[in-house]
Amino acid sequence: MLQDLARPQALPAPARLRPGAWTLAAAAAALLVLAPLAALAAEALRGSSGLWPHLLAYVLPQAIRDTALLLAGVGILVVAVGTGAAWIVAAYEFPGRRILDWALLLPLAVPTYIAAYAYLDLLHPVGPVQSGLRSLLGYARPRDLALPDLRSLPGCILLLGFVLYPYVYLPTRALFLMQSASLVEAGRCLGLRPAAVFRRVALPLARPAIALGTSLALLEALNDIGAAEFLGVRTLTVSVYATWVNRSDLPGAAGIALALLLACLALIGLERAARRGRGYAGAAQRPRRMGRTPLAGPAALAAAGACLVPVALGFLAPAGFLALEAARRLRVAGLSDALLSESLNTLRFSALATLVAVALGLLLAAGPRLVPGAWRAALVRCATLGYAVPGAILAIGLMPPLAAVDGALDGLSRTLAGAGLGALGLGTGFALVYAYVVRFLAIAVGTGEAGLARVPRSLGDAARVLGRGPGATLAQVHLPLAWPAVLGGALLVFVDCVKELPATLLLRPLNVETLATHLYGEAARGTYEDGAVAALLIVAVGLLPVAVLLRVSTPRG
Amino acid sequence: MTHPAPARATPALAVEDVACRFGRVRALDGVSLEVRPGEVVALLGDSGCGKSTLLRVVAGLERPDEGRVRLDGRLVAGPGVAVPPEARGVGLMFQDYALFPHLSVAENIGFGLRGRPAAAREAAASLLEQVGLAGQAGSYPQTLSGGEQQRVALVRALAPGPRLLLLDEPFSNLDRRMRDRVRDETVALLRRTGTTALMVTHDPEEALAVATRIALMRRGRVVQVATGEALYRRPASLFAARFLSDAAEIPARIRGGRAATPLGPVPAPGLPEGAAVRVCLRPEAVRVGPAGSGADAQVVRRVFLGAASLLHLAVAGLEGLLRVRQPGTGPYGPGDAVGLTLRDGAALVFPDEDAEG
Repeated sequence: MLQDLARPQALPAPARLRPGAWTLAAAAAALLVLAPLAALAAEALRGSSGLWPHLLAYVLPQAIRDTALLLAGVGILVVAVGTGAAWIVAAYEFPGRRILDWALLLPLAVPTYIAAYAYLDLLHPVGPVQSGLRSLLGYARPRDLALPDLRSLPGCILLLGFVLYPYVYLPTRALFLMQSASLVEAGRCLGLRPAAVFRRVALPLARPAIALGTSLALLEALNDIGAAEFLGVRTLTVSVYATWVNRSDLPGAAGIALALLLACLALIGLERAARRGRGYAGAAQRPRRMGRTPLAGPAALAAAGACLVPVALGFLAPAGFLALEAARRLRVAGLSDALLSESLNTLRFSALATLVAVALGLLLAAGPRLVPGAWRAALVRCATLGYAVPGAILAIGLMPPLAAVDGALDGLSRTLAGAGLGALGLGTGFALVYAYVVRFLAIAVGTGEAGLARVPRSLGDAARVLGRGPGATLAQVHLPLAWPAVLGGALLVFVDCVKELPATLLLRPLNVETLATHLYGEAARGTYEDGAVAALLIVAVGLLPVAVLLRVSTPRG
Repeated sequence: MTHPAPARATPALAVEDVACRFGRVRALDGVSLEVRPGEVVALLGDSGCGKSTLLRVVAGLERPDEGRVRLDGRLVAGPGVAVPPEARGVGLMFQDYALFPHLSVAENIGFGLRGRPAAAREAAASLLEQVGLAGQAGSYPQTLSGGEQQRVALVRALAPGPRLLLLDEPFSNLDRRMRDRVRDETVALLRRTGTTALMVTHDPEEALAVATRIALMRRGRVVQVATGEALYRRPASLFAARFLSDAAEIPARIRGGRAATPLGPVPAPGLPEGAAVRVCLRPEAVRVGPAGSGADAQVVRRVFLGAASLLHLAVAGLEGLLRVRQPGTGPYGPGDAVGLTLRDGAALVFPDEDAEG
């Protein structure tokens, strides 16, 4: 028997070098991402000769000014709130700290347009807050008590800031928690008071996390279309949408979109610059974690209060209001058929996009491990650029190529079969799924890479030597070991698809509504029917990944 | 009547002028090596000498930039040819064992047996029994001890009946006490199964204990291939002599075909008159006798090692201390004056690589 075992097996004939199927797939993915951006540039250049003078004179100056002010304000607010809250929960122990630790992430579940929708209602002159204040102070008419209008640039900044600060809070908190205690203690021994330790040691060390979080928050602010429009701020994003929807001016919209894209690239450049040229990595040994300083009395109260305000403003108030409104609506009207079919639409588009994105993301993440080769990493970076491209830009960029393909297919089918196909790409939701995949592919690739990084290289090599090809190795070794991370990534992609508004508005098939577009429609019309229920459903779905994020971002040990 | 010369048996592995670059680093720089059927060859060298890269090239996990690799005479790597690892029919045992944590011991071992006849499975089961792990078939790798994991990894690599087994530092993850036993078991198993093997190690003792032949590597090249004994007794270079054991080195010059040392002249045939050389004295090359029996020396320190002891000796005309091994504790202790003589043929003479010119 052992002789049988030792007898050599027949060798297959020498194989030719493989053409690199993975490289082709990665190149295709990169092309899928770059195509709409190229189309955008082409479209903007194709516009009539009067286009650019018009844009430069009437549209862009005001849009750029509003966008810049909005970004500056939101940036300052998210850094202050996110970093401050992160330091308080990481450095101090006080009653309620454990709950606030994760509660501070809750605003992530509230998309900006839903927060705006809820607050507009909440702070409406006949809404609960103002009515309550008036009856409390004895005023009879709304005009007697003039509160500052939420529908303004400062209002928009406040709203976006208190919803988007978790993007800074999450990575900064993780960094504070991982920080070596000896650095803080060294600061104390060198004569710094606790406040000075924060300013001179912890804060500079956390700079990469703060830069990353801020850039993500600001990209989200640039992507926003609902909040800015409801609150009457004409940002570049809103201008793109309005130029297309109200004036059907595709070249015009493309031109503004290009300006917006430049803003996004500038943001990413700033983030890279903020991280460059300094060492932030800790010592090689596993550092001792920083202990929390216990607080008592007024100090504890102040710490808890400071952390409670962002939670209340960013989550409790809007979500609580939506829950009350939704309950009232459901009691009166029940769950309408329209809402059911919109939920199904949302589910269908999001699930399909998630499947495609996760499969493609895994392929891209796994490729460099299975097929060696350094330059392929560049292809992966290209394919994940989509996260920086706002949905509105993507949608505008996708329309011309898809319309062209649709037209060609329709014409072909007319000549061949005598009947047209209609708008196959734009009319079936294909375009929408395409946009979702491009926009959220980076999440799938990132979580895929994180999961695969935990599989030692020798395991993959062992499977190859034991007779498995690259695909079988991925399926039988990498996937079973990486699936928790992959599943977490799928959840994040799915929820982001459910929340996505601008691309959904522009690319959904005619007369097809999702939860997000339904809410947008009601808010735009000023009606309040099923909107609260739709909003609450989105927030509920959005709560799922908060739990995942919290677990992933809490250092073990 | 003349008999035709018997055709040389096809080597199980032939590596021909293989070069492998990572960026600007030449990990392999024109390596050639043959492993004959039934042999166990050790690739011996310091970390970074390219020995693991060579192993990965043979397995198909790394693609060589130049040269050819043949298994049983078939070209598996060369210009325009790159047979993937799964089609090469070699086994590889990894330094970290690379056991699949999501599969049981039985599933790990069965991983390479898919599509093989039932006899192969029975053979694998018998192998598992031979290494004393039949009772652990349902366990998961993380629950096994280091020694048990090593055996599972070995059985997994052997189970598909590879034409060539590659072993990457197979014993380096075991503690010293267990290493010798596991090593002997492994060698016995390789012999029993008649397995041809190529093993990577940085430990000369391990190479001597396991291998029929040793290929000594340095900076991406094979510098000497020989049996363990030949490599130890007749190293081809100062590097080889230093690598195989601790040796005292005495600088000297050639006079009349001999290297003159404070311990007496050493024959050095083939080296030019006047050349700077180094004379390597291994601890067993020097005989210690009573004072006046040879070169004068004094015992400075005696280190007891159990079965033997090591004398540190101050020798007239020699910088530093000379270390000499003697069985047991020996008659001499610190302070004693002794006489030293060289055993015939035990001293090695090499051109001085460090000297100028």
